[in-house]
Amino acid sequence: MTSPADVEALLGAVRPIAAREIAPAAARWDSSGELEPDVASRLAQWGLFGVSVAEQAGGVGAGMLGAAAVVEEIASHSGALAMRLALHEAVAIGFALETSDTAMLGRLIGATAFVGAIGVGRGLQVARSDTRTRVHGDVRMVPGDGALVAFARDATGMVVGMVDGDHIGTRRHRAASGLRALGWSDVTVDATFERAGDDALATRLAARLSVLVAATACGLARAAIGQAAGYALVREQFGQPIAQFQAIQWKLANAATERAAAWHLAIDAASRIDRAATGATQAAARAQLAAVRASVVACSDALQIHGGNGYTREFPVERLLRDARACGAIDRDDDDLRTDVAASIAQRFA
Amino acid sequence: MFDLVPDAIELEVLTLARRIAADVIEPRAAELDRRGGFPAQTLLALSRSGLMGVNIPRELGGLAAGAVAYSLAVTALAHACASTTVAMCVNNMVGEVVTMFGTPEQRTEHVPKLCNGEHVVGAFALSEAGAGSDAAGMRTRARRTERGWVIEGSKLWITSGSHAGLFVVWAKTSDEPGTRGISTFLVPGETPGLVRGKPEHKLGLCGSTTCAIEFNACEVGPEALLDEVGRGFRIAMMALDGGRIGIASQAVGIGRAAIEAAAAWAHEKYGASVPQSVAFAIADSGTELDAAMLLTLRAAWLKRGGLPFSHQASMAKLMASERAFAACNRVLAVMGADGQDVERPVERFFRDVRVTMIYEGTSEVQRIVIARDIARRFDDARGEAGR
Repeated sequence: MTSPADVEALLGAVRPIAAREIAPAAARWDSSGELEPDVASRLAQWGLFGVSVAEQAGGVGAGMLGAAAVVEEIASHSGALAMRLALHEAVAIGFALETSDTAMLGRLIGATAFVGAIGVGRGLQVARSDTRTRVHGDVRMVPGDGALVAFARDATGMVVGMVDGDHIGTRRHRAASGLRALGWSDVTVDATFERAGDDALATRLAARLSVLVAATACGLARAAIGQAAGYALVREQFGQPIAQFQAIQWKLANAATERAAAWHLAIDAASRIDRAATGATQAAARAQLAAVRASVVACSDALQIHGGNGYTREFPVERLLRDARACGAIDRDDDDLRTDVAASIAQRFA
Repeated sequence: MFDLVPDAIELEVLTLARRIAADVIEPRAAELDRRGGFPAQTLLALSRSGLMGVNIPRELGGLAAGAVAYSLAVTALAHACASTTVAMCVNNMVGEVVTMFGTPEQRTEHVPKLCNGEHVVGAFALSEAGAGSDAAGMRTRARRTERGWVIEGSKLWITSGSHAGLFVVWAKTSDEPGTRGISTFLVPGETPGLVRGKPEHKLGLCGSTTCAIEFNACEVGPEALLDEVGRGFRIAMMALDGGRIGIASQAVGIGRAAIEAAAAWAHEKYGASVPQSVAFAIADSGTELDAAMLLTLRAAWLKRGGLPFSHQASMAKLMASERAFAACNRVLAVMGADGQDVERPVERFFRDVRVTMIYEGTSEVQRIVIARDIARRFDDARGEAGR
């Protein structure tokens, strides 16, 4: 199991890279709406693909706990990059792990392009036979720029599989408000899954993704709180730093408390996944639900603390708010998550 | 109690605003937001309709329709395009300030031009880098000379600053502490020494401009002084009270547009079987925004009747701006990835509405105003009881 000391050691290596390589580029990525083509290979070089994979399989061996910590740190600089990493690590690498495809796993850990993911029930039709599972249809708002992991549903349940780039139609970029550099797209998919996963696998991958979406949201919230606290200490109104005012202090205190609670839910869910413990799916849904909500409030309050300055793009808090809101649009929205949590509660008391 | 039923003139103004919003403003709103810049075309349509001076006397070119009509008109216009509406709101505020505090010459010189578009639009130059919520931190100074006044300093976050033909400018005219010693000036946009900064890149209201304005030895005649020397803070506070009714109305308009867009999306996606998660989000938001609109109309009704309305305007702005943001946030949460799509208007509503909790007094300032007023009333009541 990954210990807190292991996670700290990992973060000790990641923080300087994030500060040096990612922080200066984040506003540029947001403004242009895209990441440079070599970003994925640089992440691979820095050893940030495969954090959740065991060392003997070529990964970092830090489990989902380590992956969550890394994604949270990167999100504190760039939400879009953190989410790209989250999709690659949680879904694509998760798929290779779950299907024991060591060749694919190796390729994904050393990848030069991100693998995206299509959310559940977003428009793919499924045709199943004894020998193959075929998916086809138009899918909207797909993050990803190479191969992707597609989730689809029919009357018999959910299916998940990897689709390589040859079976993805022309990518039509869709401009989005938040996480702008994520690569929101429309695509047409027409593919046969070489290896199709079932409901259980889809659920496990969704749980991995929920943990990393929660980590992204927590990273954005931490950045917003830090920006707001720094601003409040130097901005003077009525003859004193605004940090002296209770209204500001309470906003920061509430935001930090909510963020900490959400982060602990994310850690709990990651730990359950790593231990293959019960309740991991529901824990992950709870974490994503709480983290996105906490993040939107923290980023909005951070903008409020900045006053008129916060509304301008001179300060990063407006980007953090847009990104936090967009975290709620990745894969499963709040309602899907609530439905999952409610189902588990109902099951427990049935 | 206040009268909830609009009179014939108020309904006429609402109908006019809705028509212009639907025919002229809404069709241009998305493009205006995408392209950025100044909403010249849509403001021209408002000038021609009289809506740039809703609460201005007819003899000065306005509609003389009162504060309730103004609130209803702003709500209808903001439903279509918040960027156009913020410029319209500030113009109306400037027109009212000059009407209320100006000399007959100042009124006839400027107010008709604010209403008919000759001034393009008016701007309100109060905030500074160090003086946002705290007007006493103002650094801009006006020095009296033989020929009038020379203004030196810089202002920040000036709505429509890039194109305004008339600026209402606040400056210190003495060293008296706090908010004393602040005076108000009417400065035409072409005055030498008035330098317009580059428009800010903002989260929302991208179809309106916000910029810094520098006053570099900006010389104006004695006729530029509005009201008496040293009474500027009072003018600013009175103008902001009225302005808060406008911002509250704006917030309600944006929030309503968001929930209507969500309802249309839900109908398209779910048909007759809209899930409770979506339906309840729309219901909660609709209820909260109606309550906020009623608070706003109460403040407008008091203003229309010449009664004190400062406290009520603060309550309206606080409630309307925070509930409208909550409505837009809820709508985006239920719409998932569809809500993030810039082809749909809801992400614009979310970006636009956020500033209503900040400008013309942040939510925190509104809470201070409301709490002080409640405490004062409590003290007064206790004093009465003790006599």
